[in-house]
Amino acid sequence: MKFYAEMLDVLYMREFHAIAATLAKLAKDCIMILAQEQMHFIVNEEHCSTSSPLVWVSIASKDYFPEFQMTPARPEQEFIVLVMSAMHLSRALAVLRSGSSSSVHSCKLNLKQIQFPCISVIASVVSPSSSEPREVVHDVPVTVVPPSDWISYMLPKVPNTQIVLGIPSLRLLRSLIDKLKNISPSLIFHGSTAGELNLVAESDMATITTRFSRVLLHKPDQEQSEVGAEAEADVSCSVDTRKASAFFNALQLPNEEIMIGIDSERCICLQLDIRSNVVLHSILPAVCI
Amino acid sequence: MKCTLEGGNARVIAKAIQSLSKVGKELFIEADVNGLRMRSINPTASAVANISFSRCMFDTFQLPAIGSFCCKIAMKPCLSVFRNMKQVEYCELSIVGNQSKLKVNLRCKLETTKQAVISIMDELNITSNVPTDQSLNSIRGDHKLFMEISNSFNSSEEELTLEATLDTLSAKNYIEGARVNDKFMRSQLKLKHSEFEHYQVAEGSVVTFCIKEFRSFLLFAEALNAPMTLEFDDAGSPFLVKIKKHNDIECLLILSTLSAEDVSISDDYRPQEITMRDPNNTAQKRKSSTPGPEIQQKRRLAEDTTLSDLDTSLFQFRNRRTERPSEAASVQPARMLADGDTIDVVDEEAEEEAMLLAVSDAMEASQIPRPSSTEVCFYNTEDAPPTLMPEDNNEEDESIPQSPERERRHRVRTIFSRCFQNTYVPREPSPNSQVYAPNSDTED
Repeated sequence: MKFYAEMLDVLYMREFHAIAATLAKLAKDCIMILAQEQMHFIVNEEHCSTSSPLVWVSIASKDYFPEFQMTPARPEQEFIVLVMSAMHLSRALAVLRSGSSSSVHSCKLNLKQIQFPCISVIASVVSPSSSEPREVVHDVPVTVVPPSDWISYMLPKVPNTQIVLGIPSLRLLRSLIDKLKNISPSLIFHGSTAGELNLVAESDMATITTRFSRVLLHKPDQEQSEVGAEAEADVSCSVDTRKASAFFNALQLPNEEIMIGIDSERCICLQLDIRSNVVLHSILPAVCI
Repeated sequence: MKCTLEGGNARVIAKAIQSLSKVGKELFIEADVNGLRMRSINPTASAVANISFSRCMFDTFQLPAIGSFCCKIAMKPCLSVFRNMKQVEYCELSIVGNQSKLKVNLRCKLETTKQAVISIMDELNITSNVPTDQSLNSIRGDHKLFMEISNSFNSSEEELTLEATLDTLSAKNYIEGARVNDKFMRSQLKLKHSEFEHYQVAEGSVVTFCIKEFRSFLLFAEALNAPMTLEFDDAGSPFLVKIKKHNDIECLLILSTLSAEDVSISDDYRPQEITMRDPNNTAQKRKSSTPGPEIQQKRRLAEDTTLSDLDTSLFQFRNRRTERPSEAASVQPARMLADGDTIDVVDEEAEEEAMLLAVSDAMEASQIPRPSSTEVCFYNTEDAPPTLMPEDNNEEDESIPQSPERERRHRVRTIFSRCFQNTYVPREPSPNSQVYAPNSDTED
């Protein structure tokens, strides 16, 4: 069982840290699935407080890591599955954030056995006060999940949604949902094929509807557009406001556009394209009002 | 004693008190011909901080008739007196009331005067007999550099280990080779000697000391904007931190270090690659090895299972894993007796399989068809169904046996565990059971 990866680009390193920081905000533990060409992180409801949603991130290794070697325990296996503390991972990668104060040359990830299995994060950092690069090593303890338990750690699937809307301003949505959290425990997402998204929060005293009009409409797949005639009516789904708020508050990424897929009365699927091959997903299940 | 100083210097004294307050709860003040000295010692007496100000920092400096003066005061009132120093233009320290009170007079902007009287607890002083200029290794660097080192560790960290070699210094939050907690994240920072202003290390040494006091001194070095010097010999001997500014302010922090005998070190805890064992190799090893160690190993496994009996869950649900240890425990004596026989009769493959099954118990628990697998695993090796073989070979490659075991720790201790065992006969210990012999005590 071997894993080795190296990052060289500062921008990617910063993004990678932002992903880890997002996971750390959502839950205590995260699952890292290493495949031949992909790296996945999953934050599960089981591993965190009740108000956090299911979030997973898929990273195409080619994008972030010029070097990425993964050798599973046995040749017929596809993955290495590890469980680790998201907080530790985020702290270990914090050095990559590298504001103006220091610059990072490279960052290596390496699976090692030191008393127990660890992911070693080895960063080579140059601080402004000196010219010499120094090496910062953090050993994040991990638990190796045996193949027999992989079933419960599989990557979730993106649900089929009737409508997908792209919201251009994540910041607006975040502060809005944060305020609606105090008004209603559930939040209704209404989407229409005319490119409109209505966010409805209801309380005994008031009903607050926020209308996003002319939001980018992502055409559904071919087969779904056939039923488009009857899907002319609005699609709506009501979700837990605290969960939605927890998701939006946890996001540490600089991206501004988010895609919201609505599966009528089943779930809301949120997708954040960090890069074309680096995608963060989340599913907010529907609640009954 | 009476001394006066202007606002800027008063702020330095305030900073000094702030950083001394992180060391100990009492402040020792000493005045003599050389100037004013403040000291603090931490409750466990593992750190002594000493900050001395030369006479030229003061506008006036009057000593009592005896020539020197010392006292001990509580840190808390001192801290609150020297809190908001921004407005202070002039400060006067004097001893009043027959050497029982320390009076602090602060003249601030807008003609405001703050006056505080702190009672003196004792006429006491502390001294340390640690030689402060004979260290073999000395490292001097800018406070920013040490700040960066300190900041790369978690604020909840308690100890810092410095490993100095001829040309590199590594700072670690753990001791190389010593066991750490399973959830502990090890961090280390490796610096080249060229990053320091002065780097003189005679021979490699490793020192571990308390980071809290070190950080408090670092804060003072930052306030003074002065370089810091670390001096040390080896594990167990004192670690000195020195800050010096224009001969006016001299600071010395003496920290005790962890001695080498206090730490148990093993090669198991050093870094190594996670390797997977080559199936062929291990098979060969097994064949060549005598049955002796295998018996031992099995016996140990049996003990393990009996121990883990305590860890089984409170109520035995239909969870296979919880059910296994108790079962094993109930049949365990039989197994021990059969031990010798098994070794003679059993062919090698079944033997090997039994071991493997036992080692990778967690995986086995979820993969293998259950009904009699515990028996197969622990004593009845001859009857092992041949269908299990391929799965075992698969298990062999997992070279990290401890990861499945860790889960066990979360379980709750069993209460009335015997009630759930197969050997339990419900009526046996009941209170109304038959009396076999009359009570010997004939009181009634």
